[in-house]
Amino acid sequence: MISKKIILTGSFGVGKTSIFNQFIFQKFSDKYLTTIGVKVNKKTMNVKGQELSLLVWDIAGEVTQDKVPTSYFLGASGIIYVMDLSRPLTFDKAEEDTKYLKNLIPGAKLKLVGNKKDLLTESELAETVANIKLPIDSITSAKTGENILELFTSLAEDLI
Amino acid sequence: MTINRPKRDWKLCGHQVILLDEQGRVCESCDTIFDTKKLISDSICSQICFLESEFEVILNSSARKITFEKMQTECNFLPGYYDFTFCKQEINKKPYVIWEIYDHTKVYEQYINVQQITNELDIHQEFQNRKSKPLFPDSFLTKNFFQSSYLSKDKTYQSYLIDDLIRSKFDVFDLMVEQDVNQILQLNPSDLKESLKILINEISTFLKHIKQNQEDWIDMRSMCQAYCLSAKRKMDVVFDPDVPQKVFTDANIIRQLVALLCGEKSNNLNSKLTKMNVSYCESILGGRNLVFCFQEPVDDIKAFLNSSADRVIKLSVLKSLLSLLSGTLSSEYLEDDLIFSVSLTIPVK
Repeated sequence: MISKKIILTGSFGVGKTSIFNQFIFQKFSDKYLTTIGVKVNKKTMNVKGQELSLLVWDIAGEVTQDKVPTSYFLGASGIIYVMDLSRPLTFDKAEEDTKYLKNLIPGAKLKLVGNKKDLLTESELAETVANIKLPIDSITSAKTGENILELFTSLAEDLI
Repeated sequence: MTINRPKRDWKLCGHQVILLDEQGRVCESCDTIFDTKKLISDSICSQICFLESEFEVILNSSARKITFEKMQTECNFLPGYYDFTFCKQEINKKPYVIWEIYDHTKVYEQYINVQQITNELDIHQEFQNRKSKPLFPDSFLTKNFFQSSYLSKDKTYQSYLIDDLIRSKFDVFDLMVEQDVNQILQLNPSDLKESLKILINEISTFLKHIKQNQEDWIDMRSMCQAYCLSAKRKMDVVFDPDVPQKVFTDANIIRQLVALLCGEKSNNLNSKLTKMNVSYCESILGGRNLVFCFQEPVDDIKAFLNSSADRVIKLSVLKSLLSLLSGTLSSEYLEDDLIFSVSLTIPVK
């Protein structure tokens, strides 16, 4: 079976661990609990008829990505960069951060994700997305599970 | 080749060394954290997601040594927070990997609590900066923050987290628990955040030093005086006569400990002299005990604790750090003096 390492990264409090827990365990908790360092878990998916083991790294949030230890990124095939749609500061650094990550892991596929969709109304969402400079690949809600599986499936398809 | 328990003279707790072959099979282990003989399959990589993900990368990396800090693992024989280092080694022309595990679970659990508060304070600040012009005034999160109790006060921050920290999570001494915790909750958020961020750096530095062994002759008297001076606090340092002028030991660890103990920013409300006594005795386990006794005069314990929540948190963290070296920290309140005693066995040559 093919294995691929995927990292979940972004600023703190954006919902990386909630996405991780929703994807791996189909669970969600409203309580914010900070992550330090990294935790790793895996999930097997069938993508285009092929078994794929996704090894997902949930990395502690930092204000900028250059503060994350570079050893965490070794061998990563996919990057999910998460932003909190209700906190503009978390997408202010997205351009700089994604540029840094692309330089650090040149071959990796990157998905830009806006999370916490459930906190915004339709018009607020439209206004927010219009204000984000980079094209967002996926708008998710770890709370409701909306678009979480689709996000990982889409990334897995890119990796095959 | 045989790997014995780490050769360090320090009684370093929670440290294991494992020799793995290129298939991830255990060749040797000192088994001080978990028993490798009980592993259910040949390759350890299939039992720890992290290794399954990273072992090939480590083998193929051009770097000889790779470190992964703050790894959270959930497998039943290694549950907690660890620092891992992997060092490639060729033995009889075959590639091997020496895997060192440092169990820092207790310290990292406290680190999480400290970071949780600093993150929460940052988010709090973020929303407060937008107070005059909320981005989405009707959204759940904005409402939640704007209506929360701590935003109703401009200069104080209240959080259940602080209560958790001081009451239980930090395993603070009985002395502290007896105090009225509600009094301690009224803190200036920017001061607290600053202190806790410094503390996070200090914890990381300490844990880095624990992994390095830099033995040297240390002049304890000069070192303690220097730290007291740099902390700009009035302190009377007294050494028992039997403490040698110079001690041959791990300079890194001693410096870190003394810095943490002496380098406290003094929030003391009075101007009385703080005393530190350093004594020395033979340990029944071999080696010698170096005992620091830190005596802080306090007129009003409640006022002291109220103004020094960050200090209480810091001492609690120090207690966990000391436990990694089999050291202890105890405290008592005696005749208007707070007395902190740090005891650890240091190897001396």
